[in-house]
Amino acid sequence: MVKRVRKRKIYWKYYLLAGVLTSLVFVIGLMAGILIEASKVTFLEKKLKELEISKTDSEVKSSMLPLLNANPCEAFEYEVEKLIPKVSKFGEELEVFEATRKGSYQEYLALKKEYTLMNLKYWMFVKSLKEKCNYSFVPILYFYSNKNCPACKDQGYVLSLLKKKYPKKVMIFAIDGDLDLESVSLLKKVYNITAYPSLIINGRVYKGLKTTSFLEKIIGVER
Amino acid sequence: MKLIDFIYIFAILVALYSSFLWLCVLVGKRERIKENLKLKRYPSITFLIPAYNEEKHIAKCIESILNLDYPKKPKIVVINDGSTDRTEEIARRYEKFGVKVISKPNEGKKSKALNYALKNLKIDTELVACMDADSYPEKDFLKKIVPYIQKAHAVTPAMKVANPRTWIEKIQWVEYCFSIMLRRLFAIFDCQYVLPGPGSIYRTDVLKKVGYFDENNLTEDMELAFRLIEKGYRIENAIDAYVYTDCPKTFKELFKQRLRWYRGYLQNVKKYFHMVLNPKYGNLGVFVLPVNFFWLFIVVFLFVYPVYKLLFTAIENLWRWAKFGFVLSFPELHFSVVYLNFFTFFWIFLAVLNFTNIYLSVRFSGEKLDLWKKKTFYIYFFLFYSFLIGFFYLAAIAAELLRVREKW
Repeated sequence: MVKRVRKRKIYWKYYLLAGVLTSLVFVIGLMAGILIEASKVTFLEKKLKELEISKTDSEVKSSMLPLLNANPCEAFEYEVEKLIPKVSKFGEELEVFEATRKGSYQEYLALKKEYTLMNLKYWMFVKSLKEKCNYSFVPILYFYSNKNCPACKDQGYVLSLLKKKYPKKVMIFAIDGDLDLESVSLLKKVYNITAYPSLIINGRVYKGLKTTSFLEKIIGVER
Repeated sequence: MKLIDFIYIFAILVALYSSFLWLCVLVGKRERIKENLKLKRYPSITFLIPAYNEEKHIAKCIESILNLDYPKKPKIVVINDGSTDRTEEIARRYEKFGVKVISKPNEGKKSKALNYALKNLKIDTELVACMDADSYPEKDFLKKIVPYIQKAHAVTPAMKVANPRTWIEKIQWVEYCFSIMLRRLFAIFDCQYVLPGPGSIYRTDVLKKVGYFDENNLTEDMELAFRLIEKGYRIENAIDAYVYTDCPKTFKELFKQRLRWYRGYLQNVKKYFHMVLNPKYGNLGVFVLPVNFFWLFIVVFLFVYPVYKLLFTAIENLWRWAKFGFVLSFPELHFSVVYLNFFTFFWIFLAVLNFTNIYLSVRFSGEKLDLWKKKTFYIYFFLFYSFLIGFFYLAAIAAELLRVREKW
């Protein structure tokens, strides 16, 4: 006959062993996580660096043109067709990073500021090119905020929709209005931007959420 | 880091710890997985088969028991629980083979049918086995399970899904394999708290001493296990004593079954709450019960949070499409390190661990992995299992909190 047990055994050895293994894997996992986060920053920094070199490259090209007596309207096809889409793709990656970021904010802020400044440079570049050369594309400067701006998500959707619909026509330069940058504050002051989302198209300010059909009218692709 | 990240970290820690603990037990006590126990003598045994409208299954069940390979012929009692179909008629055909058929009015409870037989019949065998009419044992069932009664007061079998066809059955096939291994590990770890309805065997005198099955419980089998443990009895498990069971085939049937199981679990944990964190009850008290408690939250959370996220995003997108229009375009797929997650390592590690567990379970259940042939089994299991269980537990908790009337 099997006897009843008074007090059941506790297998401490196994709990301890499992604890050791768990801590080991947990520490490795945390380190892997930190490594992933760090490599994201390095990756973005490297990419930004490349884009900056390209920007300097086209600036040098630009200042060379008078010396060579070349036509500026034919010289910047690469910038318009390839480089600017690259920059906006980088912007998307930056957004993904910002939304899922777990690391420190300071590192990221510097990255974002650099990107924003580059974006502004391209905006000015495209604007002057359009005036000089009678290009048909429309640069849109889009001021948004990631704080308390539910309409910005909708505006972002509308703009990317527009971009998908008219890839040759629409150029979007998205600027986080909360960034502490002198050039951003100047733009905000001059165009009297007090709320988000705000759009600057052809020198005019449009405040508040603008729908697809409204923007189609403005950029002149009404159907 | 947001709150959600800490919840994930907590879930990861619990998952890692439990997995490692069971792997440690598996490796450390590997010689106990299959014990070569010799029977000194063959104890007599009675099978109790409560049956309510089981005309489709009862014959197969009785015949399988009659054909069992065991030197002492088992006695069979069919308790016809007020069936309205041909169950009784079919069962009576086997009277000439010594099967005893008793009829009682239906009271809607299996525990009452079992107790009816245990209290009213003179059961003179040393052992009692319960068998559901929709289940049947493998031929060597008794030879595999009875030896374990030499070191315990009750023994649980290894339950398998018979002929899985629908996706719900296939998921359960994997789940049952998983429980076969886990039950054995629980038994080795002395914390086996379920005595499944079909195929568990008991010492008759112990059953009498503890006062039979609780008639006011949704899961009388689990309640009895808790009661036996509380009173210091031992429960063993035979990993190769197979019982095949006809499991729910549709989502609705499964939902009904699991609602009963999980509500029963919640009620029993409440009833035996004094065991939680009580070292007197060994590993069950200090680890299994508290960790299950956390698991409950994690499982429910892992259901609620993704579903909420998915629904929220879907509604948001639909709303935007309707308001601002949309263009059909394939998303550009390009890999970038920014799409990696802080937890990527853990998800990969846990997925590998999970698959190892499935592999070991299937092997220990005496089945072949057959990755290609059974691909749908594993795909369904990986895709839907945690969602299903999360949903069922959520429903069970809600039903308990709202005190929805019990019916089954």
